Amino acid sequence: MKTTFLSRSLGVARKDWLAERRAQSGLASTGLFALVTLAVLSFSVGPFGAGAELQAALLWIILLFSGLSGLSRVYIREVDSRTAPHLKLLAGPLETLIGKTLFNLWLLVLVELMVVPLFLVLMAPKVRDFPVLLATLALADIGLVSVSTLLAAVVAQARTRGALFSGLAIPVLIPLLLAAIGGTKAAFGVTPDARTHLVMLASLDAVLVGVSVFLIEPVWNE
Amino acid sequence: MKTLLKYGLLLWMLAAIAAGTLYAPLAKKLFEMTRIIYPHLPVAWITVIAFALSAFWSIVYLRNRDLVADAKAAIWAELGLIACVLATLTGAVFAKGMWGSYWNWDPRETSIFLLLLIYAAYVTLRTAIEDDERRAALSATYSVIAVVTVPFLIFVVPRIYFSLHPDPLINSQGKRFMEAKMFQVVLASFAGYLAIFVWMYRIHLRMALARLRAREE
Repeated sequence: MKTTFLSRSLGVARKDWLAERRAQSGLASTGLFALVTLAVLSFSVGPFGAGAELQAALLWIILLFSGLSGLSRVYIREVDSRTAPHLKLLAGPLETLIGKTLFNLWLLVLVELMVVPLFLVLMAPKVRDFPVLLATLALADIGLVSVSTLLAAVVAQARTRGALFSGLAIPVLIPLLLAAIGGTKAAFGVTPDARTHLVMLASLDAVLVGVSVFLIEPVWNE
Repeated sequence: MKTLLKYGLLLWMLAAIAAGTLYAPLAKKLFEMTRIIYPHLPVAWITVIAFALSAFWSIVYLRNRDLVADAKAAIWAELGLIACVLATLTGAVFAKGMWGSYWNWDPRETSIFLLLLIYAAYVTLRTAIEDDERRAALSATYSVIAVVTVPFLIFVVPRIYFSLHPDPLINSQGKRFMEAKMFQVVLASFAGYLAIFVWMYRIHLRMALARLRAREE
């Protein structure tokens, strides 16, 4: 049966989703991590203990660390279970990257579907502009997932992984995080200017996606 | 000849320090803290140049798979890290003198701190991979990812968020507003620091090439 570039990419994403559902531990542990972090923050700060500015930062700290705890698994799993050579036969580096990025994006959206409504209930920030909040989440997710997936491919081939992945990812994600916090602050009514932050997020997305596409071949073929 | 160059460089640096103290005037509102500009600006520029060169040699490695290019990328990253530490320390002294505390999370302080983190991560990544070719390819990849975020850190973040940091040397109209005598001392100091870093680069490169030759034998 003849397969296309898109069907092979979607096939990789579907394979990862099936593996995730069978194992069940990955999504559950990421979700639990997010819930525990949110509960601790909510317990220590409460709905009236933090202003909207601090709440915007706290939301992104929860999302960043929850995301990083789960996003590195996609490539590490292939190396640990020795399925990487088989995957290389079935799909090219770019197809694999796109498939795994789509899977990670889906994973992050699932975490956000759980965390963001709970955050809005427990921390009670006043959301003045929902479309801006949604646009910020969507744009930040693209950049966060594209860098994390590429770095997951890098870290999968190193000796130390867990701590190294966070150590590599967080510094390069900080500009994205600053813009995401800025956009969320605008959605919470702290600052009037959402456009600057959304434009910065979109340009970071363009650069990070472009770099991931350019770099995946030397990483995955190594 | 080499000894002459070394003593010449020592004299040059001493002259630049003396000129910063005796020849250049004090900037308005900065008072005696003006002196810190003469080491701070050159090492900050060298940080950016070194990281740009590291990224350049990383891209060359990804194209040619030449381990010499990887060695050059690693050396410039390490030297950039040294310059970055110096820029951070001199900047912190300036912040203490002007604003009363060594660290304020000003956008420029944040930017330079993140640069430190990024290249410390690069050096850590290199220690986590044993195989030479694999280490070269993966660290080159990280270097390229890092360098695309650097313009956002250096040029975009300080312009979006409020900063206490004095204006850059060249202002938004593209004009230089630093006094001529101060600018001369900054340039002289920059030339001296650049020579020191190029000298360190050459020593490191000789060591790296010797290591590569030993590996081939």
